[in-house]
Amino acid sequence: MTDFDDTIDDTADHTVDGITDAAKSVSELINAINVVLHREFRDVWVYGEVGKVSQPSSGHVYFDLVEDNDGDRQVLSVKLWRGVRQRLTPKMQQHDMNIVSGIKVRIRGTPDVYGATGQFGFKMSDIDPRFTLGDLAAQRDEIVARLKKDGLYERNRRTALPLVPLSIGVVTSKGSAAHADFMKTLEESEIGFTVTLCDVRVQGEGAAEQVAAAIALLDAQPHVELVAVIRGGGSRTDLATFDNEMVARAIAACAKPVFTGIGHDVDTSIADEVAFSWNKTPTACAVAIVERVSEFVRQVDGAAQRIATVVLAALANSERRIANAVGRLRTLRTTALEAAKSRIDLMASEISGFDPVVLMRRGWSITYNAEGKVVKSVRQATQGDDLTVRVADGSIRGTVVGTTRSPSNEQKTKEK
Amino acid sequence: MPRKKDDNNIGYEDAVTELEEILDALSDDDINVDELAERVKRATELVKVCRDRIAAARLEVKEIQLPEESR
Repeated sequence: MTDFDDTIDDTADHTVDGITDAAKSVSELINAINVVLHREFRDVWVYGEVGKVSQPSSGHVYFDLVEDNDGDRQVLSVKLWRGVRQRLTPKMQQHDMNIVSGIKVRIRGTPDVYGATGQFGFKMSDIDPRFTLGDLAAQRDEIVARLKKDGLYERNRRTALPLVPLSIGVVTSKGSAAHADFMKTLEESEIGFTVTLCDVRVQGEGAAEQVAAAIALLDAQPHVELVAVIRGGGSRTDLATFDNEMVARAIAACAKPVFTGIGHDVDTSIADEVAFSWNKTPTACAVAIVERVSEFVRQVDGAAQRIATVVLAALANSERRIANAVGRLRTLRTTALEAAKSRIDLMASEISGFDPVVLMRRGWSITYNAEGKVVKSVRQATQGDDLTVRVADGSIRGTVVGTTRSPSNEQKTKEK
Repeated sequence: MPRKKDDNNIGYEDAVTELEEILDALSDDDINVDELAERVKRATELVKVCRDRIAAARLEVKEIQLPEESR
């Protein structure tokens, strides 16, 4: 460590207490100041918002602790040495937090001046995670209340989800695992998606601004039908970006449905709450989008299947109708023929009733006189006339021996 | 039945609506065979258009940059 520490206290006491006209050297003054700081402000608690954070490879963490009273900005430069950080890591992990820009922290430490740069700073020694988490929760509640008041909380959920969203706007950190997982799922679906990617920082300073701007930018692209906001897993404080009011407002204002895939197991972020569809992971987000399109494909295939069924049924039906018609024609033909035949028979028998030959067979005969005229009355015959009697199989000739008029008016003459 | 549109521009919603209408018409027992054939042909086209448009293209990726001041 290059910083000052308590080993200089003896010298410092001597310098401060000593009464001398002589000017102090720079180091003497700095040492003297540090003695005062250490005595008066040793292990004090201070709270504020984390501003810019830098984490060089040394393992130390430097960040600004900021208090902003309506533009009146006061900044404390905090140094979190590697050793202290390692000591605090289990505690922070237990509370699922991390030092990231935008969160409120309550930290303990001692202020001092670093001689090598003359910079005034604060050496952090402890942190109170409950302060941060309590603040996050309180902040969240406030943001949700404001969004509800402004009618934004439900707005994105009321946008219309296209039947077949094929053009997807994606807000994510390009090249991240989250990005890769999301794309892999879309690709494996073998659906012809078009992805418009907007690369953003998803954590740290300026992340919320970028995510919000990216959502608005993708919303403004006419071809984009749906916006996906993707981020891999992280601690609760890492995901602070997605609890940011600016991001929530951008999602609410987006005219296209927003799908989130922000990896976290425990809670939902405000971004999730206001989004059209929230999903636990980037993969789950992609699956939800694929599912929407697959549902349509199933609908179309179902219609095709039903049409095939209907057509088969219709064909079977017409076949049956044709078979029926043929059957009926056959029956009809038989009946008609029989009717005709019996009618002809009837007619034939009727006609045959008038055939004299038939009548003669039954015993009727016709009598002709000598002139060949049919004798129809006794008056046409007198004794001695020659008559010819025609019967079925020939003629009989004879002479009239007498006539008798019957009392009835029988016209026909019978003769054996 | 909506007028037959240019199939390349037909919306998915329109396609599905038309398919449903065709189904209704086909379910009618009185449909004659010529009309049946016509409707089935149309339905087949619609299904093909929808399926082709969804499945044909490969995944396409474009990039869009935030304006400088937002970065």
